[in-house]
Amino acid sequence: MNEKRNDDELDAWIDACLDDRLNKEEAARLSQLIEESSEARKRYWEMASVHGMIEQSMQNASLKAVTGEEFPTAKEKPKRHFTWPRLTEIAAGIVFGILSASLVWAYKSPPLEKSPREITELLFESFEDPSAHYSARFPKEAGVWTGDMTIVAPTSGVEPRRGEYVAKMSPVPERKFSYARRILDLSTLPPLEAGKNREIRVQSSFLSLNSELPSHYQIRLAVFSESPEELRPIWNDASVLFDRVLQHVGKNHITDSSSSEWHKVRASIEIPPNARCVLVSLAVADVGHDAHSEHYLDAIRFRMIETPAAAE
Amino acid sequence: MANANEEHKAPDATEAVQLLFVRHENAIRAFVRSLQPSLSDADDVMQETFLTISRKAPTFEPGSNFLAWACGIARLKVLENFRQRKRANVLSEAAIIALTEDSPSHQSLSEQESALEGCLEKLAPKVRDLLWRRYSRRQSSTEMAEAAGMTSTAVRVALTKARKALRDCINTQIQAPK
Repeated sequence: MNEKRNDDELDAWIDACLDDRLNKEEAARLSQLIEESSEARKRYWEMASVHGMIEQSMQNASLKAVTGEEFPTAKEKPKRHFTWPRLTEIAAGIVFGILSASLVWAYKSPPLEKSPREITELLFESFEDPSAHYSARFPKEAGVWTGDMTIVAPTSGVEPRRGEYVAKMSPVPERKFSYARRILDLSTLPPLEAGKNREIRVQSSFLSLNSELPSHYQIRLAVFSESPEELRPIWNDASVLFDRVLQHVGKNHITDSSSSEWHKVRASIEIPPNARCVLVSLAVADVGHDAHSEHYLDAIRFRMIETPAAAE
Repeated sequence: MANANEEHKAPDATEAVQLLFVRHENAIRAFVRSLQPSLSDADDVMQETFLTISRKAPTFEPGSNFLAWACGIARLKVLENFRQRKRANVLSEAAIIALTEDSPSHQSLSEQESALEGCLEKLAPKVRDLLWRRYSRRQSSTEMAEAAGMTSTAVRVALTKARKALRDCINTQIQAPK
């Protein structure tokens, strides 16, 4: 009986610890128990593992719930239902994204209330100017695309995602990825209101043809405090990059196998204080050294999402 | 200074560990959150862990246990964060070290993760809604109470019961004969 009471007390402290609501005395007592007792450590891990796994499950469910096919222009419409992803097939979070061929949704959950999110479209790019030429170098200013692409009319097997043209990515010898890049200057956006958080979400459609092997699509987002003109030397020097970047997100998507359908990939990044610009880097590659696919991009969207600051 | 094309020739090792990080992010984050109750601190630790594994990519031996390597780095980042914050109402450094030395195997965590999927299905919709509010929307007990028509205390009790129920369900499923 006494042992049961002690277990309950221990469980209560562990639970409070994981909810970050221990007081000083409880923290000291729990610390002592954990240091001295392997049973206490075992019970801690049992509860802590559940705590960590629930969080991942719920955050991934939330991510999916707000990434519908529709494109809201102001207030996002509330979803009546959302579903939870299979835990074993998800990989999304605050810092990094998904590396998986598909998401499977396995659960139904209760209706949601109206979302307080405000979504603003910043850019929609469908590459409709066939006379456009792009520098292959890293962008030296905000608001322009650079990279290994040319605008082409659709050929057999390519149906534009939007508009009449698509961006065809050119392979570059001795390099795995072909890139398309653009810098978003945050100083051109309205100031963030107090009590709100801001994130930038980028979505792009990718298509590959003529490959027997899977393709690799990638979105990288990086936030810097420097001006757009200052980014190129920072980005090109790995020894400096990781000390200067404020936030960095990479989302990778590898197709199941040879696929001739458009794949939509999204990535989001939180905008911290003092951020000045966001680098958006889209990349395509073949998985396998002998593959020679044609890769295309279309229907790229940049959105700004603002939400009330979350309570801890 | 590197020229504009050198970025394309980034070491394969860096790209490889970053992809592995993405692939194992769930497990790494669950490990970090187990030791770091504060959500914002856990976010900082994940960010620092990613930057560190990127820097240390050349030291990772391909084919070895990436998750163990990454969690080893994450453990050090948790301790660094802990020392910087110096909060009184958290576990002691000695306790965190003891926990990390006794952490469950990655196979065990994988089994738990698989079991959790089925156990979540067994919860009442209202309880799942509370879990979603707590872990996804990061609502406080007060906010959850207002939305669910409960008292803050009732919300905390319900969450505690839900986590215990999930823990017990997971243990039962893992121990059940296959």
